[in-house]
This record gives sequence, structure tokens and C-alpha cells, in this order.
Amino acid sequence: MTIKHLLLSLITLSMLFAPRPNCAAEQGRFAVRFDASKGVVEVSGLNDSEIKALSTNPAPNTLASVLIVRVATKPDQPQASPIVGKYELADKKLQFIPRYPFVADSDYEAEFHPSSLGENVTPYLISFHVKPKGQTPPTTVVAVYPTSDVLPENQLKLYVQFSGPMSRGEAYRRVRVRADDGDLVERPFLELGEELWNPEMTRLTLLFDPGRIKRGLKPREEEGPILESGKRYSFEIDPAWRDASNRPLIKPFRKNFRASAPDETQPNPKNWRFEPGKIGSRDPLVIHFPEPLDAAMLQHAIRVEAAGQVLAGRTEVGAEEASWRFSPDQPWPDGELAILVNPELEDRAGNSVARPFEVDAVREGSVPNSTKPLRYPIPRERSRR
Amino acid sequence: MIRSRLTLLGSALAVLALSTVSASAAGLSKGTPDIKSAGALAFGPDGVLFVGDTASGSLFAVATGDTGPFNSGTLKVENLGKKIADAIGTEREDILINDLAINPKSGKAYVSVSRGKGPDATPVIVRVDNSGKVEPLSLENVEFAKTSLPGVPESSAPRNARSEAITDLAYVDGRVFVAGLSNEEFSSRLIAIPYPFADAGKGTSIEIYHGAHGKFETKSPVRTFAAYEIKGEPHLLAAYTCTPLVKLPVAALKPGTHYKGTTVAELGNRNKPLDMIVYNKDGHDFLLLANSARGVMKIKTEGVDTAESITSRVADKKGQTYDTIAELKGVVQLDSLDKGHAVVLVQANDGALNLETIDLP
Repeated sequence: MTIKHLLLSLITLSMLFAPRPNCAAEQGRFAVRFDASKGVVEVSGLNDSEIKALSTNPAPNTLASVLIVRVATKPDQPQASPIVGKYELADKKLQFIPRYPFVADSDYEAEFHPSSLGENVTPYLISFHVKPKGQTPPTTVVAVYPTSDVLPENQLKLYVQFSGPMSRGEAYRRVRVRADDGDLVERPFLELGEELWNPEMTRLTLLFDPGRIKRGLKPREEEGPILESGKRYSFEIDPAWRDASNRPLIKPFRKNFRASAPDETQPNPKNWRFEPGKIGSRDPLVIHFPEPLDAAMLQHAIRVEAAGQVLAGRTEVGAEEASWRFSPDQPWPDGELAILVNPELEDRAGNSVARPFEVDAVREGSVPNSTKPLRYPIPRERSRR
Repeated sequence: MIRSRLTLLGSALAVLALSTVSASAAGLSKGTPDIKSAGALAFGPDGVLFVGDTASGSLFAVATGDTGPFNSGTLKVENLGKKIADAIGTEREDILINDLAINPKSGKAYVSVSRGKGPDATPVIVRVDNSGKVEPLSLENVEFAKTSLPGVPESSAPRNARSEAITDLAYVDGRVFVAGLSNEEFSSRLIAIPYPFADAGKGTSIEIYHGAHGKFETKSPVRTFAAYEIKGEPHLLAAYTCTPLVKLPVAALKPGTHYKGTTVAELGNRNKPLDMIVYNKDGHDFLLLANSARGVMKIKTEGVDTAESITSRVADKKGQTYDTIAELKGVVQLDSLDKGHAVVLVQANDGALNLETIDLP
């Protein structure tokens, strides 16, 4: 190994020796170091009898008193308790392998007590810093759905789409709805400890408090509706919100909108307008909805079937979520064309194809209980060559 | 639910043998469960811990081997969040405590934790005993079983962004009830999964209705629920996001059915239910409900067996009456310890999470 390599590896290890008084590293025959490539803390220089003594008495408590690894102690803070992990003895070395890998861009310290081996020397103390991960671009809000600037006063959800993964635990502190008089709407969203993220944590679902949307419910009677038809609002996102790499957002976000009359009508595929692609072409099938539908569910709630086969292809949601297009991978075959619609597909107010958001008691029996797709044939006369 | 305490007479060795036998009898097998996120927790028989895994849409049953004897000592750990963070090698600010469950066999507390806050967070389950010892459980080579949650709609999208947060779990009479909340469609899905999982395959979804305010509330998701016996029949008492408390007889919760539950109480505004237990004091049963903003409510159950559904518009709280326990502030998690005590996780003003044992009010 050249000097250059040696220096590089020392830098890579990001290891800092911080010896206690009278505990210089060169004093003893031991060396304590953090091995960044393996993610372990290692004591070398043990002799055969010491290895044997430690091996024959391998009770975790014994080893845990010889080598202690902990999160770095901060000024004016008590020392942290030891990190859990396992110990291994091999090649005249004692290794500590943390059960959970050391966290990137964090500080730790390790204490080695030779006195436990009968060596009358003071403990070794090292501190080390684990390298940060490669930097990804900072995160920003890409879009808030629905994208329209007019929302029904019984709007049920907002989806916040981010450019990268975010962190959990502070969502409800970072979002607010402001009325046009400047006042904040108090607790507009249902606050759930789980927070409703997609698996990649790039999209958050915010539910307007359903108790203040549904009529006659106590929260609405007491606190009033969240949005009122005719009034203007802004939905604001605080840039202090941390992403998964613990960095704030690049900039604040604001969506201005006006509330309109409540939407109490279910989406009905029979009222959709279809523009099918020509048989033999790969032109898209476009569906126009009379009202915007749920942006997230539109990604997967509609499938296209031709001649009894579900087709593979690319789907796109159109402007203001009021249309949807499907471009087949293969040219359109002849035969009957149909769409399969998940009956749970909702409009912006949570009315689904299967049922309205607010159901009257008298209609109890009319509510289907199935997520089985509903099939709607598409008229195709105009598309024939 | 009134817990009967099992009296264990055997030696520690006998207890260990018992746990091994029951584990294999329950369809568990040895290995390392691939839990992606540790959320809602509930105890089943013989120290089996159910772990709701939102990230993988699964339910795990893990044999903790902690089958007693019951130690009725007080559980108390100040700044539990910091102690857990220390043990797993990170900072208090970089973990999230998701749920708390007390093992009824041993009186030890189990806490589910996320190590990290992003999509790569590591799930951790921590055991706390009454000496204050905080012990992250190794999940290597343990007896476990896994079942995936049913009822996820079909999808044609290559990368489906839909997920279902598991908001609560309870084990009642051989079934694990799972309340889920989707990040897309707004629905009330209560899933019943027979345990042992292997015996019955996948569980089924039950759709719950509850009469409220002249409307049928069809879709509001369940936040938290508890098992409760009414005249010897097991029931669930479920607290919904829109504040009603609803009773559901377990026997009526049959797969693939709708069930119309009975709304027995309206619990007031700004009252997002977090956690609920049932207990008996001086011959009367009560519910203790922790809320996000309005403290802890002690709810009387007298008459819950005969309660007629509340169907009128509610001008004030209705149905079962309750008292707010003023001295219990900042309770974010709650579970029963023994007849007279509950264990709570309390958020202090400085952000510290303290584990405390309280006398049941």
C-alpha cells in the first residue's frame, strides 16, 4: 500500500482519535478503530491468552464491559447507553458489530477497557464520524392534486407530490389552509399518526376532516365546515419540512383555490365521453369525464379490454384530472372494446362509482360490497376504418 | 375485557418448553421475519406478538418466548425515546415510536419503533421490563408466521402508489382484527384474519356500517378498537375518525358481509381517538380512550348492551357518558397492565416520551 492509499483509507475511515489524558494510543499495544468498510469497531493487538480468556468466557456482559460503543456524547448531555450488537473474536481482534448499521453522517464513540483483561492501562476512547451518503438533489413539491383552482367545498383529499422521498412525523405541522382574510382554518386535516404516504414516501395523502365534511356530524356542527362555497383559500406548505435526507424543502409552496358548491353526485361511467383509437393503430383511447376524478386512483382504476383481453399500455391523466388516455402497446385489435372500472374510483368529494360519500339510510340495501371491476362497453362505430 | 391471569407454577424451563410446543402448534416456523415496518401491535395467545406491517401490507405473528410469569411491578422509564435511540445507535429525533402493547402473560411492555423517518427506516421492536431495561429484540431465528392483508384492489399500474396504513389490531377469539386506512380510496375496512394463519388461509374484509345522524356512515375508517364482552358475548367497540363509538358483536362479523354496527356514543369534537382499553373497577366496566387533543376519557359502559343506535343529529355528546381525566395529559399510547393499572406513553413538553404506569381512574 502506498502512502497515498494509506492516507486515503484513513480519510475514508473518517476516524478521529481523541485520547483521554494519560491514554495516548501509542502507550499500549492495542489499537482501537472504526472500520468503515465493514461498519464495525475493532480492537487489535490482543494476545493469545487474552483471546482465549474472552472466548472461554463469552458471556455478552463480559465482552460488553471490555468494548463499549455508543452514540457520541453531546456537550451538557449525559452519556448515551451502549448500542446493542454482537462481539466476535478472530485474528487477535475483538470486533463489535452493531445490530443496526451505524447511521450515515453521525458521530459515535467507543471505549476499550484493557483493565478487564488484566492490563493496567487506562481506557482507550475513540470517536468516529460515519461518512454521509452521496447527495441527492434537494427535494421540492412537484404538484398538489387536484390541480384545478376550483374545489368543491366537500373536497375530501389533497395529494402532495414531492420530487424525492420525505420524512415521516411532521406532516401535519407543515401544511395549512388559509382563508383569504389571512386567518388559518383550524385543524382542516385528519391527523393520523401513521401519515398516509405511498411506499416511496414521495406522495402524501391529506384527508380533510371527514367529520366536518359530512352534514349533521358533531364536528361540523361545532367547528363549521372547512371550506365554504364562494370563498377563496390557499393551501400552504412550510419549507422547514424535512426530506428523507433531513434537508428542508427548497422553497415554500402555495396553491390558491376557490371553493364551489358541494359535489354530491357519483361518477358514472355511462356519462363519460369516449374517443377510441382506430383499429390497427396505436392511437390513444381518450376518456373525458364530466368532472375531475381522484388523481391517484386514476393511475390504476381503469383498465381497457378488447376482444375479451385486458390490454397492456401506457396511461396518462389529462389536465385537471378531467380526462384519461390509454395508449396500447400493440395496435388496437378488432372486436368489442370495454373498460373495466374499479367501483371504488372516487371523484374529488369521495363519491365513488359504487356509492355516494353520504349515504341515506333508506338506500342501505342498494350499496354493493365488492371491489370487483365493473365492465362498460365502449361504442366504437366511429373508430372503424 | 377482563383479563384472567394465568397462574404459572412450572419452572422457567417448563415455561420455555411450553412456549416451544405452543409455537409450533400455532403454525409458526423458525426464521427471520422480513418485517418492513413495525406499526400496530397486539398480543395473542402464549406471548405471540402480532405486528402490523404497513410497508409490506402484511401481518406478522412473532413468538416472543415471553410467556411469564406475570410480574405486576410498575413499568416506568423516563425519556424512553432517548433510551431506545441509544440502544439502536441513533438520535432520539431520528426514531418514531409507533405503538405500545403490554404482554398479558408477563406484564412487559413492547414498543414498535421506526429507526429513521424516510422510506428506508428500519423496523425495531423493543421490550421494556419493570427494572427499566430497554431491550431491542433480535428477530433472527425466531418462531413466526406471516400473512398478507387481503382486499387490495387489482391494479394495472406498474408501480402502484397505493398503500394501506394499519391503524389498529386486536386478537379476539381466534381471530386478529385489523383496521386499515388506505392512502387512496376512503373506506372502512376491518379485516378478520383467523389465527393460526396457516389453518384458514387469507382473512376477509368486513364492511362496517354504523347508523349516525339519520345517515348511514358507510366509509369512515376505524381508528382504534378494543375487545369487550357484553353478556358473555365478545364484541368490538370501535372508535371512528368521525368520533362515534360503535359496538359490533364479533359473532356477526362474518366474511364478505356488511354489518351495521350500533353507535353507542358521540365523543365530542376535536377528539381523534388514539388508543382504547376496557377495564373493570368497583364492579363496573369502563372504557379509557386516549385522544389526540382532548386528553383521556373515561367512558361508562352501563347500558351499552341495550343501547339503541344514535340516529338523531347530535347537538351535544350523546349515548354513553364520560369524564375527561384532567391529570392525564399528553398520552399518546395506552394499554392495560393488570386489573388496577394501565401503561401509558406520555409526550412531555420537551418532546421526551415517558413510559408510565397509572392507576386506572
